[in-house]
Amino acid sequence: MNALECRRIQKSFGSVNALCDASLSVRPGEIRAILGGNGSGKSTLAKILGGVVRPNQGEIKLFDKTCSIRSPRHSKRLGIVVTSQELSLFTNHTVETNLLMCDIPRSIGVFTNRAKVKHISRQVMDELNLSHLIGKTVAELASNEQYMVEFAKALIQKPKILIVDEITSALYREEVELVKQMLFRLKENGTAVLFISHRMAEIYSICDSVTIMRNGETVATVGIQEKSENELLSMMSGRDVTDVIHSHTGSVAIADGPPLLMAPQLRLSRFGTQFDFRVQPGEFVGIAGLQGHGQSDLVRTLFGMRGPVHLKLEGQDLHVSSPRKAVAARMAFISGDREKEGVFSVRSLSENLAAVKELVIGQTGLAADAVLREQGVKFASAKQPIRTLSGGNQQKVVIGRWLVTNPKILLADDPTKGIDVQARLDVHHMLCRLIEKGSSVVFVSSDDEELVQLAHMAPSARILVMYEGNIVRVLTGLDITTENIISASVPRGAV
Amino acid sequence: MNILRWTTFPVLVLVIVMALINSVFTPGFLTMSSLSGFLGSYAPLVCAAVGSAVVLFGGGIDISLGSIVCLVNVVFITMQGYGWSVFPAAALAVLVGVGVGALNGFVIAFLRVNPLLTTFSTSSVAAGVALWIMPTPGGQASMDFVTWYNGNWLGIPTPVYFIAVVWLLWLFLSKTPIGIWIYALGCDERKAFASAISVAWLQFFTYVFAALATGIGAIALTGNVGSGDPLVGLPISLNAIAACVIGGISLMGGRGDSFGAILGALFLGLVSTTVLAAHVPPFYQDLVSGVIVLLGVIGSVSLSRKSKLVS
Repeated sequence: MNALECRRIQKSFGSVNALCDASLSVRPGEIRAILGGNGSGKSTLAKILGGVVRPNQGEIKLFDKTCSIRSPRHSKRLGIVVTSQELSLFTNHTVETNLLMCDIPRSIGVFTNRAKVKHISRQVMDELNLSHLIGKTVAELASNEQYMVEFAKALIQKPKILIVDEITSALYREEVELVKQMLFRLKENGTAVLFISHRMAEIYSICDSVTIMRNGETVATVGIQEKSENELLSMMSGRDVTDVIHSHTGSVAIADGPPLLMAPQLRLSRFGTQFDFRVQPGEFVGIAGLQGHGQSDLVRTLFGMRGPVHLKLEGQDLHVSSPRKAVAARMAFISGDREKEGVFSVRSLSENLAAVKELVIGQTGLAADAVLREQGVKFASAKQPIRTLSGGNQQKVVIGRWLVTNPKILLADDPTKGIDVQARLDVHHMLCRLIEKGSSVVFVSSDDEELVQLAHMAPSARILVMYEGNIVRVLTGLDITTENIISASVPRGAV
Repeated sequence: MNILRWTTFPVLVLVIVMALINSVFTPGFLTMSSLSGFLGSYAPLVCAAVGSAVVLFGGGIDISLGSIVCLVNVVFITMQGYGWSVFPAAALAVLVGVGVGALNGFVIAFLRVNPLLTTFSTSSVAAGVALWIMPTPGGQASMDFVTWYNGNWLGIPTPVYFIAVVWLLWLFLSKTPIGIWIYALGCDERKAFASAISVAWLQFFTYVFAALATGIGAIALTGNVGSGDPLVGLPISLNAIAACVIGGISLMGGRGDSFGAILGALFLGLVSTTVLAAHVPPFYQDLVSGVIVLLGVIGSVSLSRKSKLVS
């Protein structure tokens, strides 16, 4: 009997296929790792099982009974509990209230039984060595503590099927050990566990088997002892990953001349990490890593979006206290979140194009039509509202907005997310032309292949791989390959 | 609890300061009879503010409460004009108000329309119906009721009972899981949904509760003015929300407590009373009270957490 069986699950959001063919089955008492790169569909699968997202197609069986999971409430009633990567905790409530949020004990059937809430939470928190957190609100906790509370909340619900989505990446070694012990106890009681993680060492020490996902498909399921790390990584990237590549450890090729931008002791406040960061003139710097490991924080910090920051631009001291100051120093920032941080959706193309140059820098006389044609935007009139364009063309206009300011350095945070292949290539060419003019580009992408392509188009390039807020690897020259990026993104043996 | 982090602390300071200033201009202000008159005038706002607070806790907003006051007031007076006695007339009037709240809740929670737009529209509808029922001010409440409201009952000013009923209703709810869920909903709607909380029903409920609290306040208002007026409650719409914000309740949801709303409403009342007592010429009364409220809001926000652009 299988505790959980998924057959040919398919889910698309608009034109994006998040899952195209996910199939797996897990027995009671089995701990199954789910391994996959960015956008491989792991989290979508977790959300489908949690009832937050509904699949377009496919069949889900729980203990050999077919069910369609209608809602989170329904999912919980079926015995499925999902710990979320984004946490499901309410920051304004206390730890114990959060732990019992899904099943609040009552006295005389009406009132919240605070004593019982405390009692039940204390039992679980004692086992996790966390009883000192009881009474605090979640907002007061450090992020590793929040993840432990998230895990405790899942335990309290006594799951029959537990899905642990990337919880351990925020935890310390001792905490991971506790999580492991708890998972083993659940296993003895017949709970099936799906363990989504990038940490190879943990997968090997906790899991019985592993399902590999790539591009929304489950490509293979194997016993954990059957394959080596390299074999798993090869299956995950779809190419060979050999040990030869790993023997080459982060040598930093130093480009000639004085740097264009220096950020000594750059601090990423969300991670509390610090490192030196520099960009050479005319250089392409790709920032890679699994999502949420500080890539976006890095470029946003440089642009003054995370508070004041000290930089050196062309040898001159520069105090960037806000994005406005950054623009004045001829820096540019393109966000991948067009809706929120890119387009002014009801305004015209020409207004969108002129937004920075005319309104912030104060230079007039922008020939909108000529610029739009040069950027290869498909448009009828510069007066049409930007929302009438496709996503890719909208993004070209946003990039055009910054290119007309002649930036010395362009920071891009996953700017080609969710745009079609042709528009993506156009964007790449726009950036290459900028680099040819002597400007530099710092480019974050969740698509490793894109970074490799761009790096090979630029005359000088480096790829920095980030993990938990640190730069863990610098790739240059022929070392810039997707295999190397993937293997550096998933540090082996790291706990 | 750290008193400075208590969201109600700033407004408590404001109320005490304002009460002291007021007693300078009106030496007898802190006597029982004067306070009783003050409470009589502002109990309706206090009730509506508590209702408004509950909607804000849940992450919504309701700007139709003033119109609900108008509607309840005219229905109450009209039914008494038909010879109904006080209690059934009041019950029907409050029920009509709750009906408007249920309409708000239904449109917002189940049809997923933005709460600001919804309550903006329903406030016109409710005010329109009030005007239709009673085109010009008039009618009269039962004299017994007016005397009862403006006097003492069991040794305590009657308006206090109205405030107490509304507040106890909420305190009762806040001791049940519903209270926990409402704050969770206001903190993060998606997480609430993912935590198997019935988000839609809960939202619906907050608007119904706000209308009920406001309806009770409208009965108090009728006791205070003694007649019907289709426009009488309109300023309450925004004053109730202002009272909440001054009372440390976040417009983003999930933060604050109902006691803050009560004190916020009393603060607004004290400002108006003080400006009147200080013989500010009528032309400048709005200006002066506006400036005082602005300073109060700035003070209360700067005492609590800051809202930053930099993340």
